[in-house]
Amino acid sequence: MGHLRLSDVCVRFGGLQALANVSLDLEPGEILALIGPNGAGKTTVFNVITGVYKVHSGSMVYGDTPMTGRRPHQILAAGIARTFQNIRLFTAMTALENVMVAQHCRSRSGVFSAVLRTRAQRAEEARIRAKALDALAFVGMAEMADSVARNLPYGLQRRLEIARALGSEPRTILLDEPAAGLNPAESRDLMDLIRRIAATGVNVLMVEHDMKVVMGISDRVAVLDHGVMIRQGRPDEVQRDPKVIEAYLGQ
Amino acid sequence: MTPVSRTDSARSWLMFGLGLCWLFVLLWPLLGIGADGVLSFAETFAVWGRIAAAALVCMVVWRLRRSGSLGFLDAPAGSLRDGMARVAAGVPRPVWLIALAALALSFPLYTERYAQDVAVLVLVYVCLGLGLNVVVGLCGLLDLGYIAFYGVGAYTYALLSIHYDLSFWLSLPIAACLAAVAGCIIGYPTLRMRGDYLAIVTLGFGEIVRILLNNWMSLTNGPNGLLGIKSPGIYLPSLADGFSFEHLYMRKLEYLYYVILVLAVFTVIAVRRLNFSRIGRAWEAIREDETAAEVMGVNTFLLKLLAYASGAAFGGLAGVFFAARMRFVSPESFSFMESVMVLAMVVLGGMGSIPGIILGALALIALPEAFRGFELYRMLAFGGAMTVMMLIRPAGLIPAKRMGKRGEEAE
Repeated sequence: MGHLRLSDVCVRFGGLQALANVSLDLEPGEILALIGPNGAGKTTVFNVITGVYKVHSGSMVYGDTPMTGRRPHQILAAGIARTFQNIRLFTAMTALENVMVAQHCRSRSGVFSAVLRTRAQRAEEARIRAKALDALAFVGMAEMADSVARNLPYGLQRRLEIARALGSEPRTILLDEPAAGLNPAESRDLMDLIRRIAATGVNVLMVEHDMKVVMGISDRVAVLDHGVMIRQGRPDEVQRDPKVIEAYLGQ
Repeated sequence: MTPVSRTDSARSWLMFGLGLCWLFVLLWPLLGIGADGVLSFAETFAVWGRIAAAALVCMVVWRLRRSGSLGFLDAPAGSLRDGMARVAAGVPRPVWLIALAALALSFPLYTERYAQDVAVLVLVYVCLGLGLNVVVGLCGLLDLGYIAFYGVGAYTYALLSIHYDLSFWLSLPIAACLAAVAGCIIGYPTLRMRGDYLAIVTLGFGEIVRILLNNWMSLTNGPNGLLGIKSPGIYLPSLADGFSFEHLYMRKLEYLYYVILVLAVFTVIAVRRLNFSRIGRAWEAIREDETAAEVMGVNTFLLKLLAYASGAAFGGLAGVFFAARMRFVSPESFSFMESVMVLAMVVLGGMGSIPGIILGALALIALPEAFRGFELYRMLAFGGAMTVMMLIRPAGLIPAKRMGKRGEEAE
């Protein structure tokens, strides 16, 4: 359950090789940080996993099911949710509605039952609402449920993105630079939140530049440079690796 | 007054003058150049003078308000507004709904034929506006060919009624289904398009439907249209000889008014329920950010198609009523101008807002009727109203409310 495996993934944009034979294993309940200099292809890895980009070659397996070539909504339904590097909330909708959208793939009532407002449809709506409120409460935003997303302060918008991802009841969550733009206190809260998410049995894959966050909470670190995976290992090992230091600082 | 505000005032008067000059330049070719090439200025000056005088009054009031000279009016106006709001909030919602229903139901009792005619037209456009609202307001897909589905519904009932003598009530679901199918056919190739391209393609499809109706002589009788469509019929219990049902065609306008009222109420309830359901939330998510919606588990292909289909179905229902009301259909009722009118109602009223669209339909259908004398300048007034709306109420007359409480709205 929740075991995500990428093997020999290649992605090309025209002549540009964005990812070259990248392999990655994400074990259940693990926090894995993906780091690397700008343009190394970290977000590309996320886009490959969530089905936004198509792979040129290589494969992706989740649990026992092959996921290569699936569409993003199918991948979410399989249990992989993500957040975005630049916040992409549904800005005109309330915080609660944002999270309720994530339950779309976990519910099935259609147009006719919505128009007739059948008993099953009302029960399902109540269930969606309760689950969404749970997700908001988990990130500590229960009292902001009715505010419009656009009007929330930046830190809370980041938090709402995580709540929205959690609202889909995922087994794996991908966080794209969750600490970007947060102050030290907010970063500490975020680390605490990520630990709590992992404690529920959800495995976390995150891209992050803030080394304090990366070294503080990850079980393993994977380093990407120019689309090539140059090192995977425990945080303290990776920190001392000369190849990693070279990738960050140059020769 | 500080020097800064004085230059501000001078600037706004300058812009005001420039605006009036520009209006004159715009107006003169319309009014001053005769068919025989004679140039005249008298009529242009007369019309322009009246507009300029009205604009001057508005400008003076606005300037006085800006400079605070009308401050003494603010306190009474504010307390009046507060008082009204308190009274409105004090009356519970069911009372409002019952009052509204009573007004709508008793409308034909105290009005003339003409007023009923306008009311029927308004209600038809309410149905159309709400149907288009599903596509444009909720799902964010700009559709300039929406009237095609109205046409599909109207011709469906016309043909079924003439050739198969099918009843109005049975034709409603059939026409809704056919319009939904047409919606899917038009929607499918446009699914990958966004923005401007989508608008152009839907515009093209709307025209295709109209031209098809115009040229398919054997089926639609072309520009001559179809005659002999039956009015909606009902069975009334009669006790003349034993107990039997008597079939009655509802030709009278007040009966038709009740038919369209039922259709409009159905549309309002259906669109409202869709809006606050799983489907409606997914549509709004697509409108806000299509990629994020897809990543958050919304099958955007399917839901966009569903938006086209459900929007079209409401248009089809309105079309059936239109055919039954006129008992005659011809392609010219489904021109591009009609699409623009419906879209204007949605934008003017407030995208995604049901009361807003009802008000928009009322404004765009009933007001031109009330000001019949100005028919010549309707398009001018239209453009002017849209410009003013963009400046003072960019989200529409009654902006859409979120489900929960609204936070501090950033204007």
